[in-house]
Amino acid sequence: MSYDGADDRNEQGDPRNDAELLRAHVEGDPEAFGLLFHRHRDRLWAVALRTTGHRDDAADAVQEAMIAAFRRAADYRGDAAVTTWLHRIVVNASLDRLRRNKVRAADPLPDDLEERASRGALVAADAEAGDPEQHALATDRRTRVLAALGKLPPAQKAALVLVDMEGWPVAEAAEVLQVPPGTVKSRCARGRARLAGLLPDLREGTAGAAAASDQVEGGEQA
Amino acid sequence: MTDERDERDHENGPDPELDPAEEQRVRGLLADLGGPAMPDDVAGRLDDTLARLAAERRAESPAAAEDSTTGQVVPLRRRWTRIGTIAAAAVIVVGAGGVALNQFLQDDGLAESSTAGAAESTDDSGGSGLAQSPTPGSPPAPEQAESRAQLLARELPAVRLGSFADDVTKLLGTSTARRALPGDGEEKASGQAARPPGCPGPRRPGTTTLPIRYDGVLSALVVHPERSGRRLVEVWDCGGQARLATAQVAQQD
Repeated sequence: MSYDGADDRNEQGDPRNDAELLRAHVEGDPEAFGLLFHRHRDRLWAVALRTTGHRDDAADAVQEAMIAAFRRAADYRGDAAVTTWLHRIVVNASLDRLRRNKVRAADPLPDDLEERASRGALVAADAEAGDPEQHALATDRRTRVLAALGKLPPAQKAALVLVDMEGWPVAEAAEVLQVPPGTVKSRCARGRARLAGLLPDLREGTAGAAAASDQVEGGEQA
Repeated sequence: MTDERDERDHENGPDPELDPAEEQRVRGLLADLGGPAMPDDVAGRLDDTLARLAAERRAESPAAAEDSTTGQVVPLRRRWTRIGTIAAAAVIVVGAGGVALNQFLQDDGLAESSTAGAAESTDDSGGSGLAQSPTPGSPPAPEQAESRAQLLARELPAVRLGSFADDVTKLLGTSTARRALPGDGEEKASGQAARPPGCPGPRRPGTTTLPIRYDGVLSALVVHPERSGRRLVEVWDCGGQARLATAQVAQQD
């Protein structure tokens, strides 16, 4: 997985890379921003969903981020990859929503948490498709992991979402979060330790282990 | 972006150390959550918002004044017709509280500076009398409506993405806004929402909708009744198709 945008060319038949699309948008190309956002929207969605823990909040956060990026594209200075810039805006919007809705922290778990867990389980869906018991176990496991993740401080959660769930290298996650790499490592370590205590009896499924292994290869270990 | 309280509360002292197997177990559980694809309804909502942003951009672009097929310059009057039809009516009374928008705009210094807008609005109508209220019962002349549209688009209270809750709290604390809004648990007697015709936003019974400029774009601020000292506020596009922001804000005493 690449985060510099270089591998994102041509996905929609457009030869321009992310930076070229953003520049084209600033210069008035009416299609460029849509192409750029479409390239990254699933990853941006995943980050927003896992960071906020609420589907509606995630949708609002991504929408706010998209509007901000659309209108402020001229402010992009090119000192980070476009995808880093986009993720930064989405993470900021997600954390803003968490701060605004602090009252929700005391809310009971949402009714559709199990459904959300199933929706998020794309990597394991094939392995579980033919085995209802396996599917039920996996759904229960993900529900518990999501609930535990929701108990972490937002900053730790955001770090874990980027590094452990989305596979970002620590250095680039630090750029997204606008903190030193050491802080990202620290947040990840604290978050994992907290999760280990909250989920002492759980182990990931086979598909999950494979996904984790793949992601670790993508960058520096946190 | 740093959450300072998180730093203070949770990042003091040495980092805990998990043994490698335990760390790998937790990382595996997290990775197992996977990366969900964006649901179709969310993708559709974003597509709609993007289309709206693109349309607004076209409308605001100087190039929009030129006919793309003939190269002829389109008169400013025509250029503003699209938003004129929307925004001109926003000078009409807002809400059951009987608050005229031009009064709302002038209240407590919340409106953005109108200097530039007034300068630009001096089109072929002459630009005079821009701040006058329309005579009740008589719609403004087209020229007046266009000029007002330009002025309104610049003088509406400004609410920004980066300071959304603070801006709205300040806005709702103005005396004029307070008179327009339902109180604690109170709903409009009719059960209908008060919605400015020029930028109605969505239908939300019992709410009051105020036109604002959200990050520079004419939008609808939907204010719900106060509940235990707090109000839910939402920003929508004028057509009520896309919710742009939400927050819970404390009622100012």
